[in-house]
Amino acid sequence: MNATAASEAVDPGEFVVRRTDSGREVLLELAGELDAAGMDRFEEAASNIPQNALVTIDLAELRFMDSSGIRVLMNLDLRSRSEQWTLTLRSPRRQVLHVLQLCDFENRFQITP
Amino acid sequence: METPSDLIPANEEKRMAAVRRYDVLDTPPDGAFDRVTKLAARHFDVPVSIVSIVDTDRIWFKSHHGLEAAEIGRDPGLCASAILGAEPWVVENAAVDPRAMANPLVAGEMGLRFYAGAPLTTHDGFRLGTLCVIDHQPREFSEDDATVLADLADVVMDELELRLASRAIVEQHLVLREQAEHMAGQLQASLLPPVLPEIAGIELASMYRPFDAGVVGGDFFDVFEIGDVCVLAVGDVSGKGTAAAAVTGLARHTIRSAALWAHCPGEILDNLNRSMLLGRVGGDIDYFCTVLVMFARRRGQGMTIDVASAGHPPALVVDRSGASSEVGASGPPAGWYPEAVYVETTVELGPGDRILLYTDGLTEARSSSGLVGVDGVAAQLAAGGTAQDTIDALLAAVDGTLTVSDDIAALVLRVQE
Repeated sequence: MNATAASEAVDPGEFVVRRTDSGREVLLELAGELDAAGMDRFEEAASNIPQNALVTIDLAELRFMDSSGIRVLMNLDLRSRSEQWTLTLRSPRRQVLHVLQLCDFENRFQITP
Repeated sequence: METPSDLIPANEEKRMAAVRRYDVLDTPPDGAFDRVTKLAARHFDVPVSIVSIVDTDRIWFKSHHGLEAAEIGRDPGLCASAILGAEPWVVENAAVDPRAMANPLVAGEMGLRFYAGAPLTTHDGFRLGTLCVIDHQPREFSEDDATVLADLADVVMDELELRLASRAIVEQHLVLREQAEHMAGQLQASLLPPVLPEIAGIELASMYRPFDAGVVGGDFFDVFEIGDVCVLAVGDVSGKGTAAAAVTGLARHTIRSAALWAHCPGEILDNLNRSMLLGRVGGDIDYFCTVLVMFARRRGQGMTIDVASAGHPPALVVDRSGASSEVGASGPPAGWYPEAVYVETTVELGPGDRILLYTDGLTEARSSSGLVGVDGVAAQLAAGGTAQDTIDALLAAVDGTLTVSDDIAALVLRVQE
């Protein structure tokens, strides 16, 4: 078992999402572990995005994401096109980046370090 | 001693069936009944109050306030007499009452003088036992008293009816649950190959563990041979239950039919993606599917494997020495993006090498030290062995120390040596 897995056991990492709106910018900061249990909270936090908004999803504190997170991100991707706002994913950790890469999201989403 | 025949109600056989139906005999003490006997004793100012159930050869006390004994024989006959009629049965002074003078409870150590018992009558008219009050002194018992006692007996009966009803609901729930599990199992079985094919030169083994036996999972796998190609697929449909099962069925059969004409696994995924999108109405997208598809072909002593993936975790290759590496490809989950493109990667397997296709329920299981992860799964496989040994090792871990929170499907191919 690697060191990453061991540190996850110390802190089970409940999913937390925090939204900050300032002008056109909407910041969604995710932390902990995102699975089916946290999906609704993530979607709720990401509702009512104004047109032309610049939405950044900060993943720096997200330790884990499964296909529930993929589902929400793909929904946001479609919404950003139909509702005309832009979406950027920021600072994914190794595990989360790996999941994004598997889904070829590097070619669909703007992902910044 | 046999119960005197004059103490046996005419409908005794059916009455005993009712007693058994309520299933109250020999159950533990219970506050609800104890409160009634306590209340009755206080109201009537008597030392003893009992909720009795008249069994074949004994009178068993569900609640006995002011009395040590938990049951007595049926033959002394007070409660047994009280269930013969619909109204409360009252002996105001047993010492002079011919119905009770000879009773051992009256003549003996107990020295019972007063007894009033109201029958516990079921909604369909069977008298199970009594609520009775007892004193060592003779007492008068008015019609009003008899009404109060009968009302309290009805309270006891209501409680028994309630318990019977709630037990019936629990039992019904269990039956429904069993039926649901049976149906889920049958539906699940229809989404998986009933047996793995025998294919020359390779060994195959698989496992499927639904997280909840009552719910059809969204995981599936398939393996079949077309010409010189062995096609392997493992997938995971978002969601669970019958809606996910319908998509799972679509996915599996679409993969099978596409395999009849497709030249590579990427074409299969492309076809699956477009097939799933055909069902979309008005842009209402609510499900997708991650899938890994492989074409495995013999090449000399080994195999060449082409892999395409729709957002699915990579396969794990474990070579003869136990060293492992991931083999996957990048591609969006199927059923979401019309413009999705699926590219392939290729891996060569030598004799004795194994390749494991799995769903994320496996790597997302937890051990005492956290997520199992790919490294944890690789560690399980390092020991080597046949395809079946590999699955057995995973099953032992899944059924043993790991905490699983999702369905798990896994398929192993091993190149024979």
